[in-house]
Order: sequence, then C-alpha cells, then structure tokens
Amino acid sequence: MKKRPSIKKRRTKNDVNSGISSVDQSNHESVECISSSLSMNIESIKKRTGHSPDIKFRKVDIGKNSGMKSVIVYVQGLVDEITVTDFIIESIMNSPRFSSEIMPQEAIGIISEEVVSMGGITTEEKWDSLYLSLLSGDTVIFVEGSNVALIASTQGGETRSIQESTTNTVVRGPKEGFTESITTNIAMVRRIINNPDLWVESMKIGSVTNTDVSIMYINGIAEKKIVGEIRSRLKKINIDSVLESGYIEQLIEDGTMTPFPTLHNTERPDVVAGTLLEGSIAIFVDGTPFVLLGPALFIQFFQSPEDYYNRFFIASATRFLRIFVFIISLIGPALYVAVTTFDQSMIPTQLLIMIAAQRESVPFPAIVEALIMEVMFEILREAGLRMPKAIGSTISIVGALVIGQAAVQAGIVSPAMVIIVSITAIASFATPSYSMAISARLLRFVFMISAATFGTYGIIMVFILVLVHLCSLRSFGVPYMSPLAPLIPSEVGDTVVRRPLSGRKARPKLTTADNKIREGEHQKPQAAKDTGMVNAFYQKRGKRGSK
Amino acid sequence: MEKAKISSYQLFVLMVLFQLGSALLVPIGMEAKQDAWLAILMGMTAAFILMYIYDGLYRYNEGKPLTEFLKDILGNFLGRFVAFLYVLYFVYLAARVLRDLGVALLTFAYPFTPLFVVNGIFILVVIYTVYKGVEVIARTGELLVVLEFLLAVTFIILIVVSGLIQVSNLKPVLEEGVLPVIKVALKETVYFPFGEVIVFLMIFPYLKQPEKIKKVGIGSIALSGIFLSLFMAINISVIGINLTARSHYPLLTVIQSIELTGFLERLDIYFLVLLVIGMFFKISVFAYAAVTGAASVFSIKKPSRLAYPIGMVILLLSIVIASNYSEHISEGVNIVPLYIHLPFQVIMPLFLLVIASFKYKKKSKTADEK
Amino acid sequence: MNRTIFFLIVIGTILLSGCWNKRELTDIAVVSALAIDKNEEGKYVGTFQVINAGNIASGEQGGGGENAPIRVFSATGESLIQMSRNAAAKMPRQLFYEHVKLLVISEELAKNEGINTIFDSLDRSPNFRITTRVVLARDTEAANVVKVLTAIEKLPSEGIIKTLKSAETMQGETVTVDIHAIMNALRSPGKEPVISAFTLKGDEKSGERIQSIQSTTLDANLQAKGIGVFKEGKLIDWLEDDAASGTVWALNKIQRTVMTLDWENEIDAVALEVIRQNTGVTIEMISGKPKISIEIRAEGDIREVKNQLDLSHPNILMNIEKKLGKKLKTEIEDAILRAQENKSDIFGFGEMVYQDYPEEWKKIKADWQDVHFPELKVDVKTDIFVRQTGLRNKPYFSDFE
Repeated sequence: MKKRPSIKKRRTKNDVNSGISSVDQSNHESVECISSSLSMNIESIKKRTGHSPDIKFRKVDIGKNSGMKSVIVYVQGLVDEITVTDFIIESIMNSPRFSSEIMPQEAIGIISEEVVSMGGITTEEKWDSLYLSLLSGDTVIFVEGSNVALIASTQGGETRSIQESTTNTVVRGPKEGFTESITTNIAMVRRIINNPDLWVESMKIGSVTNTDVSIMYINGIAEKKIVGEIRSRLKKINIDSVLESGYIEQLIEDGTMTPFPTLHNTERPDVVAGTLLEGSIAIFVDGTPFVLLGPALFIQFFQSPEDYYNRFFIASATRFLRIFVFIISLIGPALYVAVTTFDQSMIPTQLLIMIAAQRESVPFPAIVEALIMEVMFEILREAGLRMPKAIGSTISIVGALVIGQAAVQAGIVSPAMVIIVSITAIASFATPSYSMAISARLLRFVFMISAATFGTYGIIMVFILVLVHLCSLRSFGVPYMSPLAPLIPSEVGDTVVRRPLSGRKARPKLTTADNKIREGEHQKPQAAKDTGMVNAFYQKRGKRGSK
Repeated sequence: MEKAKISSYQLFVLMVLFQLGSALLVPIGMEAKQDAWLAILMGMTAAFILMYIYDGLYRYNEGKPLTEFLKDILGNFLGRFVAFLYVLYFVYLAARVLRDLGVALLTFAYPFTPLFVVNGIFILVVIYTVYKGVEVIARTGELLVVLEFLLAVTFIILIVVSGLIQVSNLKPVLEEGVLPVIKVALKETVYFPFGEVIVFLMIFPYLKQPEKIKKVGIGSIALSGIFLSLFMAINISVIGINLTARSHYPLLTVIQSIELTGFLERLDIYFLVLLVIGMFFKISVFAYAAVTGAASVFSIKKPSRLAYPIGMVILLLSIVIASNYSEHISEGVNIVPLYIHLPFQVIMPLFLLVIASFKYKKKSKTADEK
Repeated sequence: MNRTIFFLIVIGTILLSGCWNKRELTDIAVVSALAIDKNEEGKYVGTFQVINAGNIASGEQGGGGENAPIRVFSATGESLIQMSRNAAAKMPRQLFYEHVKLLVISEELAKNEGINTIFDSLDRSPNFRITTRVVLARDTEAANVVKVLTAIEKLPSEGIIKTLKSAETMQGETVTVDIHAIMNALRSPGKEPVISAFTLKGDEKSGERIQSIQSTTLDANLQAKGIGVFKEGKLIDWLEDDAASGTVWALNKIQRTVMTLDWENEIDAVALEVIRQNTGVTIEMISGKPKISIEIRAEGDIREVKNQLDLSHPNILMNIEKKLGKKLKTEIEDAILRAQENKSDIFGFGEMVYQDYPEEWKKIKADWQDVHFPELKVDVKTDIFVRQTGLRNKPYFSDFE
C-alpha cells in the first residue's frame, strides 16, 4: 500500500531526468564552451535552435577601421529593439575607440566598459547560461577571435501594461494589478514597501521552461524557518514546466488530499504588501499575474484588502457577512433537501405548506430537483466563462431567465428551488477568494448528498467532518484555522471582525520573527482638547448669543 | 503517545464540552425531583475532590498517561492488566454514549433508520477525528464551543422572552430535607458526568503547562456544573418535574415548547446540534483515550492505527449493549454508577494514590540516604 | 490507498441504501387538526383535517382558491392508534401529525368517558407537539368544528387558534391551553384543567362547502363559547360570561380586556379597557388550614362613557375605580365559589400549597379536591387604576341640557 506511490515517484523522477539528460547530451555533443570562431558560434546557435527565424543574427564591424567582426544575437520580440540598435549596434559601429591593432580580448573589455552605455553587461563563456540569457531577452555579442561572449541585458519587448486587476476588485484602494512580467510585479511591491529589508530571492524552475520564480519576504518580519521551508520546497521541485503559479502551489502545499487551498493567491500588490507585513512570504512566478502567498490561514480567504481601508464597523460587518454567506453557499441547497425530505417537522407550518404547494406538481424527489438545478447552474457558469464577452450576457439572460422561468412554469422544478439556487449562486461570489469559493462549490454537492441520505443529521455530521478536516490542515506548519483554533486571543480581532487599526499592536505571533510591533503607543484617535479651533468669528458670535 | 501539545485553554474547552456532552440532554438526578439542579451542584462539589485525587495521581507521574503510569505503580504485568481494564471501561462508556445518541436520533427524528447506520455514520467521523490526533480534537473543540455557547445563550434568551419559565415549578425546595439530595448526588451525579473526567488522565500529558491541571480541571467542572444545573432548573421550571422525569430528553420538550412571533417555533434543530456536538466530543475523547491506552497496553508504536478497529468495537458494542432502550437506561441508572463508575473513578484512583505516595516516599528516602 | 477505496465503498453503500426515513413532501398529508368523537358503538371517531397544500398557497398553478384548502377524513377505532391506522388506509399519503395545531374533543366524550386515556396516548407519541392547542366542541360534534371553513384565515385550525387567542386577550372569557398544560393539571392532585369550548352557529352542512367562504357573510361560523371545567378528567361544568371572566382573572391569564360598570341606572355606562394587570396569589397557613389571598392590580383607560360624566374630575375617577374594583372582586369571588361548589380546584391552589408548605400538603393532599378546597378561605383584593380617559375628558354631549 505504501510502496506504490514511491515507485511512481521514482519513475516520474527518472522521466524528468531523462528529459534533462537528453538536452544535456546534445549540449555536450557540441562544445561546452563557446568557440573563438564567429561562424562556428553562429552555426552552433542555429543548429541548437533549429534555425528558428525569430533569432536574429546581425553582423557588425567593430569600429570604423579596426576590421574586426562581431555578431549580435538576440531574439526578436523578447528584446527592446530600440535599445539594441541605439545602444549596442550603433555604438559598436561608430565608436572611435577601436584601432586596427586591437586584440579580440581587449575589444571585449572595451565594448563592455567604454562603448555600450547600458546598465547590465556581463561576460559569458558557457553555452548553457548563454542560452538562458539569450532566450530570456538578453542580447549576446560575439567578437571574432574571442571565446568569451558579452551579454547585454536588453529585456523588453511587448508585455501587457499595468491594468486594473480583474479578479480582486475593490471600490476603495489602489486599482493596479499585477502583470505577466515578474520584474514589473516585484517592482510594484517594492514601490509600496520602501525598505531595504524587503528581500527577493530568485531561482529558475522547470527543466524545459526555465521559468523565473522569486520569493519575497521582509527580513526580520518573516519567520526564518518558514522562509527556509518554502525555499527548500521550491528547490525540491523537479518538473519540466511551470506555466502558472498554480503549478508551484500544487507542488509545495502541505497536503494534496484537501479541497481547501492552503496557499493564498492574489493579483493585487497591496494585498501582497499587507500579507508580507504579517510575516507571509510571496512567491512570484514569471508569466502570471497571480502571486502566491504563504503560509495562508483559512480566515485570510475571507479578507478583502478593502477591509483595512474602510472604517472598522463596516469592515467587521462585511466580514461577518462573508463567512455567513460562505456557510449558506455550502449548505443552502442541502438544507432545503433535508427539510423537505426528512425534517418536515422542523419548519413552521406556513412555510411547510408554501413549499409543499410548490412541490405538489414537481415530478422529482427533492434531491434530484436540487441536483438538476445546481448542475444546471454550474453549466451556465462554466459556459459563461468560455463564452465570448459579447454574447456572454445573452447567455446569462437565456440561462437565468428563460430556463429558470420556463422550468418553473413547466413544473419541473419548484420556485423555492430556483430561489435557493440563485441565493447559493450569488453567495458563492461573495467570497473574496476565488480558490476558496470553488472549494465550497464542490463541497456543496457533498452536503447535498449527505442531506438526501440522513437529513439534517447528515448535514451536521459532514459539517463536523469538514471542521475536523480544517483543524487538521497546516500551511507550512502553521495551523490553518489559527488564530481561531488554536485560539490566539490577541489576534481574534482580525478574523471574523476587524478591530480598529489603533488596536492592532502586534503582528501575528505564529508567522513573524523578531519584529513584532506594528504601531507605537497611543494610536487611538482623540478629539482635540481645545474646542476653539473653529473660526473666531463664529466663536465670538456664540459668546454674544449666550449673553 | 503522539508528539502533540495542547494549551490549557484547549484542555478546559475540551473538558467542558466533554462534561456537558450527553448530560445536557438526558435527565440526571431525577430521584431528587425538583431539587435535581441542587443535586447536580452537590455532585459538582464532590467532583472537586475527585479532581484533587486525579491531579495528585498525575503529579506523581508527570508526563505519562494513566495506562503508562499504571505499569510504574503496579508493576508491568498487573499494571498492564489494570490499564487494559481501563481501556475496556473507556470503550464501554463510549459505546453507551453512542447508544444514547443513536436512540435519541431514532426516537425524535428518524424512526425507520436502523440504529447501526446512524451510529455507523457517527463513528466514522469519530474515527477520522481520533486518527488525526488530540491536537485536532482540541482545535475542533475550540471552534465548536463557540457554536455551543451561542446556541445555549440564544436558547436561554428565547426561553426567557417567550415567558415559559415558571419558577414556582422549582418549589418546594428541599422537600424531604437535604439528605435525599446528597444521596442522589453521591449515587449518581458525581459519577455522571463529572467523575468521567478520569479519562482526561490520558490527555493531561499533552498539556503545555502541566502545573495548570488542577486549575483547569476544577474550573471546567465548576463551569459545566453550573451550566448543567441552570439547564436542569430551566427544564423543570418550564415543563415541570413530572414531565422532565418522564421524558427521555427533557431539553427537547423544552425546546419544542418555544413559540415566538409565529416563526421562531419548532426549533428541534437546536436540540439536534447540541446533541451531536456534545456527543461527538464525549465519544471522541473516550475513543481517543481507548486508542492511546490500547496502544500502550500492547506496546504499539503508532496509536492512530488502532483508531479504526477500536471505533468498530465501539460501534458493535453500542448495538449489542442492550436489547432495548429501557434496559439501557436501567443499566445506566442502577448498575453502571455503583459497579462500574465507583471502582474505576474513585476506588482505583484512591488505591493508586496511596501506593504511589508510599513508593514516592521510599524513593525520596533512598535518595536521601544515598 | 486500499483504505480510501474501502471507505468509499462503505460510504457509497450507506448512501445508496440510506433512504429509510425519506418522505417527500408529496408523500405526506399534513394533518392540521384532529377531532375526536365517540360514536354509539363506543368507538373513537377521529376526524382528520388534512391540508390541501396545492390550494392553500395563493399560487397561480391549478388556480388555487377554487377548491377547499382542507380535506377532512374520518376513521373509527377502539383506540387512538387503531383509529389513525384505519385513517391511513383511507389516505393515499402518509398522515403527518407533527403539524397538528389543534385538537378538538367532543363534549360527550369529555363528559362521559373523560380525557385521561386520550391524553396518555398523545403524551407517549413523539409526533404530537405538546404545544398543540386543545378545545372542546360544545353543542355539536367535534368533527363539525374541524370541517367548517373559516373566513380570512385560510387554514381553519389556524383560524380557531387565532380566534381563541384574540378572545382571550380582548374579551377575557376564554383560555388558550395546550396538551402540556392539560396534562400537568390532569396528573397534579392540586390542580384541575380547564378547556375552552367552540360552538358552531349556522348550517353545518353549508359550512363545509367552499361557497360558504365566498360570500361576505358566512353560512356557518365558529364561535368561542365558555370554559369547560374538569374533575378527575371528566367535564362537569361550563363557565360563561362573568363566571368565565372571573376565572380567567384568577388564573392570571387576562391580558387586555374591557370592564364595564353601571352608573346611575345606565347599564354598562362606563367601559374601561384594561391595559395591564397583575394577579398575585399568596398562601398562609392558619392553624393547619391554608388561606389564600388574591391581589389584583389592574390599570386601564376609559374608552366609552354613556353618561354625562365629567372625567376631568379626580373624585369621579376615584369613584369609578372603586366601583370597578368592587365589581371585579365579586366576579372573582363568584368564580371561586362556583369552583368550590364543583369541587374542582381549577386555579391550582393545591399546587401552590404544595410548593410553599410541602409538609402540610402531605396531610391534606388525598382529599384536597373534595374536602379541603371547597372549604378554602379565599380573600380577594382588587385595585383598579384609571390612567387615561382617551383623547377627551368629557363626552361631547355633556353640555346638552
């Protein structure tokens, strides 16, 4: 029983290794280091990339009269072509620094130090890292006779500009959302937290895709052990590709047998900054606007950044509402099924009669009716996602109004069921985190089936089971349900409710290192002692009036 | 023993939930008639003494669960045997509680469902919980105690607002004098539910701050005693002693009498939730104690592996324990307290305490001589 | 892995087979009221008022309102259980008793056989709520009470309960009792139950038809009529008008009622609406015999004056208060006297003696109803306060000379 997965694991490891080794071997066949012959270098690049036309070779004479040749290689679209022409090609061609008796090695030094006026320029001898740089948008400069190549960082090209995030929208708060470019994303967080203690570590994951992955944390706030744990889990990943942060999420979470997300993800830099300040670690993955945040707690999935921007009464009320609504989206239809098929004695007579009257003509048992409607809704939702935007609204009208109304009039479903389904549908969108909302979507069916078998008793039992499961989860060693269970009294103020900011003295205990104090003493706003700050004119008049 | 730590608050919550568990739902101390609430309070006071004994016993053997230190006190063979008896005791009590639950569900909501199925569903959840360990039980307790507390408070508010309480039903107080009440307290209420906290001797070693055991134990007994007494007083004052004594589940009858504003009525679900949560913790704690106990008796490395077999034993025992509910109840009232609770909750611990104190003295003496 | 599969199989089996208790709403017939009669053969006749859900909800489907909101079935049987089993044979659906709101017992049954056996079987059944209201059917069969359709309230049982409640609060001559209260009184040696009665005015047959509630005036009408007094589970007396209201006062069940007073030859010249009242009963033991004192404080507003009374005058108000007090006192004293003649302690004085003097109670418990209660000394004290006189202080015709 235990053996099988380990065998599997070994096999997958071998697969990946063999893939890598084949790549490596082809590398070894050619020479590991670059040669000093220009044409050989060009040939070997062309061979290695399969003569891909988007890899551009530009032959350039060095200086006007040195007679030395060089080749500039870049990938079209990945580089900022203006930089390449203005700062590399033109400066190399027109530079007066080169004389005819210059040696190739010297030429490299001169180019990097005196000719090319750019930020990042390094030398490289190995093909492996040269390809990595080339394919991530750097420009490679070969010089005839030199076995060292220059690499100029010219990353650029077309990326999506910063736009409002589409998944975590707020009314109040910054509107910008992450883009697909990892450098832009990291910069966006840096812009919020101006502190040298904001540390970034970078690595490449994916033996084929070589995706940039960075972890970001605030040194002194993030717990060292958790940072180490995340780092080692990331290092352990041995997979061919990372196409989205979801890959990373599924590979580094604590356990896979759970419907609940144990890593948070967001599209908003302010959320990242906020959670970093509570000791979390952010994982950026190139190519996706979704940044992972861990360790994640259950309650974080119900927090919206807006909670902290609004006054605490409203924030607390909405948080409470969200959790309530989450529970409704879980057990709403299940409760309907239980009440109509088992526990008819538990609802007021009038309500029972109303429901009974509606169900009188429905040909299905309540559970079938509920399943039909829920599945129908899931279909509508799934179809709505795939639908081109232009006809998306048409479909929702057809789905919601026509099918819903028609089904009721045809007597296939009862109006009460339609109400229940729409309530749960709306409720499932009130959870700020999409990944938590979809886990509820799945569990809803478990609840419905248990309700159909055991009524309210079944619902309660599954509820307890889910609760026990939630309590047993950990995210990077941090109990998932904390600070509620285990209870940390000082932190309950930022869970179901949000206490005023002036009472938020310390950072969360479990996830932060030494730097625990959030705010100084006496942060509670106070009314001015002197009430005479009003316009003197009015004060005088007031006095006169009192006479 | 697993590597786990629970805080004193978690232990407190767990002990309160454990004691409220089934006692909140079934009539206890009914022989004291309308003074049942007093009998509960007296039983609570007597249970303080028991708690002192358990705490003293644990002091001599800090860091070890009951089944382990039995080996130290009574020697390996006899110790294992007594420990095994204790494991049986826990299994039996778990089975009794499970039977209570199953019958309650059957009588008031699901008359045509087989007892085996209702109990089976329940035990599956318990097995999962026990498998996850004591930390998870404690954390779940922390969450559900909030729910239980909310339910209790809203229940009291609803009862008061609907004007059902007739304090005169509690009169006359001490109709036959104090003696009969004390008798009931010593015969019944001290063992159930308070004396059953002996099972926590299996859980004390996980406590982060072992010096707080006495405080937590006494506190939890006091809180649950007051709660039980209050609920019993409410039961009697709403439906009268006669109906309370005749009902299998007086609280259900009380909840059903609530009728407010034409909509807040038929709140049976209150009872159902209280019932399931309370019973869940009681059975889980018993089952957990039985699992770790059995693991230590038979020297099994991974106790969680026993969760499944012991759960099944509890399930089967809960079915065969009695042929009908009356037999089950009469066993519970006439046999269990005197012949099972008394030896396991009072006599044995006292005996152990005496032996332990002798042994400890000897040890310290020999240590001094050296 | 194996374990997961095993669990899935176990759970799957349970899920697939687990429909023991399943009853869809379309499988049950919700009984809203139950009437119990006794026929000539000595068998119970149960009349079940079943809700016709499709017609009661004002839904558009099937054109609700055309048909009667209820259907009535009856069945006979030696016992209640047998009766309900016989009824089940006549119904396409399973009878569902959890929503029974009203239990009607016929006068004959209550008088001749008593209600003890009925209540024992109701008590045992987990289906009946102890909050089910109970009424007697007076001068008619119990079955007729549940057959009649009521106006305004679509559900007749609901209509009866609401009538009962409004009669209790506005008129003060009926009491709303449920199974629990009756059972408590039946088993207690120091208390006897009272149950309000309903009677049918008009044509029984036409009351059953839907046309009956389609006109503005009803062919058949249910009306609260008096309170039945029980002794040892049997109906022995009816209380009406003043006797009924005196009893309700003494039972401390009055909420809002109207008291009238004759003034200078004018009958019911002054009407006082009681806003709040409090009845306190205390017990003293005088040489081994209990003595009851009832103290009533009532506050109210004057609502109607037929005479030329100047209510702005405090003396007149005080006079009214005094006279009303005296009237109330005699009313209550008469009610208690009536109960003592009946030898039925409907006020629960015996229970109070037990609660306050358990030792003495033991001695007199055995023959409380027959010997001690009829001899009980009861002292009634009343205090009436007029708080407001409505919007005016004098009748508008006070200046007509």
